[in-house]
Amino acid sequence: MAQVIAATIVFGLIGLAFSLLLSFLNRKLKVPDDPRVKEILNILPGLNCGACGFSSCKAYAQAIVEDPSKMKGCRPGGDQVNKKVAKAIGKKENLKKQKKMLVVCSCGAEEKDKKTTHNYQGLKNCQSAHITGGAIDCVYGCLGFGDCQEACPVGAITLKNNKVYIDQKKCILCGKCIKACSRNLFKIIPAKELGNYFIACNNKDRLKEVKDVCNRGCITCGICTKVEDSPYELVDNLSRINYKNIKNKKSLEEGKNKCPTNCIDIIN
Amino acid sequence: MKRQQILKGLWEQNPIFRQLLGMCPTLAVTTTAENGLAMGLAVIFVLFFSELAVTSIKKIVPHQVRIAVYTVIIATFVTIVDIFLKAQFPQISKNLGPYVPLIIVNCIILGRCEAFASKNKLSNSLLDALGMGIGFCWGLLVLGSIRELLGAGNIFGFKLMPAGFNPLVVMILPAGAFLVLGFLVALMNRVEQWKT
Repeated sequence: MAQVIAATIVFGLIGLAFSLLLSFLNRKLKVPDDPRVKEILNILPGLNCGACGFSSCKAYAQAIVEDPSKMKGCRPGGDQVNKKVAKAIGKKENLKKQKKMLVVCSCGAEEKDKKTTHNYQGLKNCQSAHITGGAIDCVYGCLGFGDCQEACPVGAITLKNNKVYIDQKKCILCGKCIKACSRNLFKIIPAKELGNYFIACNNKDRLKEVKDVCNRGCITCGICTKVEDSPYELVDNLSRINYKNIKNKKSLEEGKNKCPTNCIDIIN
Repeated sequence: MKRQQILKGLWEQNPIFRQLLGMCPTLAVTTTAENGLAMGLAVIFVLFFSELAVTSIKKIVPHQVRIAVYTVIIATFVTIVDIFLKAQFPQISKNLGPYVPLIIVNCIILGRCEAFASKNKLSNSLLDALGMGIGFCWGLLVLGSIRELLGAGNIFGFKLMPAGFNPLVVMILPAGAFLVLGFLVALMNRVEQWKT
């Protein structure tokens, strides 16, 4: 018992002495924080997604307080947040209004569509599977281990039957899935009122090579490019939608319906 | 005898090259000579005052709680260094990042407190702290200089390499720290062999 009391007293006294010393020095060596940093931090969404190029919301706030020209806008926050932030740091010129964009995954194949002759036994993530070329025969398509799902800070990505589904309401366009995907499947497309069509295939091979590895791949037939006023075009053996060239919904829909392998998809 | 206390830290029992203690700052912050020197000076300060405090209270601290007490003492001085760097040298503080608070758990400091200061008298402890601290500091400085020279072509920001020199970027990456440290330890061992 005496030991416990002695230990408590010694510890308490030492702790007290040192904390007094520290609190004194803390007052002497205080670095005043810019109050605007805290103010901006309260406006920002606080997701620390890194889409602005800084490691965290705090780093972004500090950087733009020091140098307002570094302000590039907060994508998750959108126009409203950016307007408030610009006001807080006293920035005059208006930021460019951000265009509404969507992220899509350009592999629409499900488990049953993807053919495989591999017996992949490695680590269960896309990065490892991609290095070994394993898991599926298609060297362009989704490996389905969900690296993107893990990278997404807001949980907008789900995998069902080895196919990626993106919840556009949750998506903040931070771009982490784009970096995480070993096969560069995520594409950013402009949102259109006519309906958001996109090509759900990334295979840059031609007919037979595609058929050999996937039931739902773009076989470069070019049927979609032949409809009237077609916004579709063939680039790198792959159909592509030229979003600047969309004339009407009918041409988009017709191309989609005519695709023999059903690899033109639409976001609901 | 007194001379021995201070010299042993510089060479014979050098914390970095002989004892291989405190590897976390050694490998992480020695990307430039400046960072290495700053970390070395911070460690000298913390080591000196921690050993001073530990050795002067060694009689009143109950044996069972000694490690906790040492940690409190070390943490106090590290916090002082941290806020001092933030106030006076913000750029260095930014470069060193989390490695300044990490001095608290640096084994060289706790190791010297436990192994030396708690068993020896005041004057010897202070000499030991100075010797070990300076030994650690020159180790970091050499490591940082070599890495900065090979990885960026300068030391303390002064260009030393000829214009055609192509920097070996690996030297300022973590792998470079291991490479340089390994070669320096090998060199030290070789010198020891020559002596005998």
